[in-house]
Amino acid sequence: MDMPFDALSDVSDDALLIAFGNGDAASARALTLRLTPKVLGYAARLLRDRAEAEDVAQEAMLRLWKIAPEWRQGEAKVTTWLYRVVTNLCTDRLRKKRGNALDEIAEPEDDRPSQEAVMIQRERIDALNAALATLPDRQREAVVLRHIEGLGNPEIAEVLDISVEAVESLTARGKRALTQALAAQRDRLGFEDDAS
Amino acid sequence: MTHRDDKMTDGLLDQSLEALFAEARDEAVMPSTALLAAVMADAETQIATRARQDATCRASLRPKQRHPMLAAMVAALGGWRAVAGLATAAVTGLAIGLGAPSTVTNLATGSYSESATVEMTSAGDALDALVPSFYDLALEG
Repeated sequence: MDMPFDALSDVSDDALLIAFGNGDAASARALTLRLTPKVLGYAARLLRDRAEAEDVAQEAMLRLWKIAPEWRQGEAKVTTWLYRVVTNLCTDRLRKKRGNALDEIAEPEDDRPSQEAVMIQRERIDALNAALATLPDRQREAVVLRHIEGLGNPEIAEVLDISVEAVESLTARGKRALTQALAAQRDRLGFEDDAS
Repeated sequence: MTHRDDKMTDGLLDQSLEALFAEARDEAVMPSTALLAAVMADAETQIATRARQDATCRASLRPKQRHPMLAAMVAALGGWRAVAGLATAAVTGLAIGLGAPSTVTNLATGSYSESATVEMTSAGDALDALVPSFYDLALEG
């Protein structure tokens, strides 16, 4: 993602974080502009709530600032560490929302106003997000990290603290469930048109 | 035939799903200015907090200031080197005093003057009377 105003775009996340740990405010600004959109986007896809996603993004970035003095270059990838923090924060929030029924598959949310007046693309992405919300937490996290955030399976395994085989299984099952969830809406979403 | 149709439908849906993923990837979730400002404010707070902690740590490591009265006395005597010299002289004097030979004791108590008077009167040698104790010391070996 191209970030405007990121004057230190050639410097790695690691190096910027270590510089921030040594009191460099310019590095903090570069990291803020570079990482906040990623963190916010991932949190928004998991939570489907912009305000909550912003809270999670701010909390995750605050944890990053706090750990900066102890960060050692090359030990871990900053984005992997952040995705893990965001995953945990979102899981906690979803758990609170759902109470004890953590792994219960939620019904698709359908409380949004009609999207007829908005662009078709927006409607399609909303449908995808609604379908993602029907997946169990782990499947949704794996699918979003793999197919939307673009992470590789080993990195996803590190984020979710599971094996690579488990990631493959989660993403495969998640995609199957998404396909089924979207099948009912294929006419409205113009899926046949895409495929032809 | 029905099974084949289902497979075709699944294939089409799979392609459509990939297209949806691509659209979602392209859709950037841009943070608000308020969020960016809040994140930056947190970062600056952390920098300030760490600077304060570092300053406190450095202050605790610095040697403590001596009592101002003692420091003033030392300065008045010419610094720690002068005080050390004075202390050495005092200790040396004390050691000489404690371990003095009997002649020095005699000198101190005045018993020498009587014998010197006797010698002076007997020998009449005023020069010899000036250093009688060192002569005695030399005789004793």
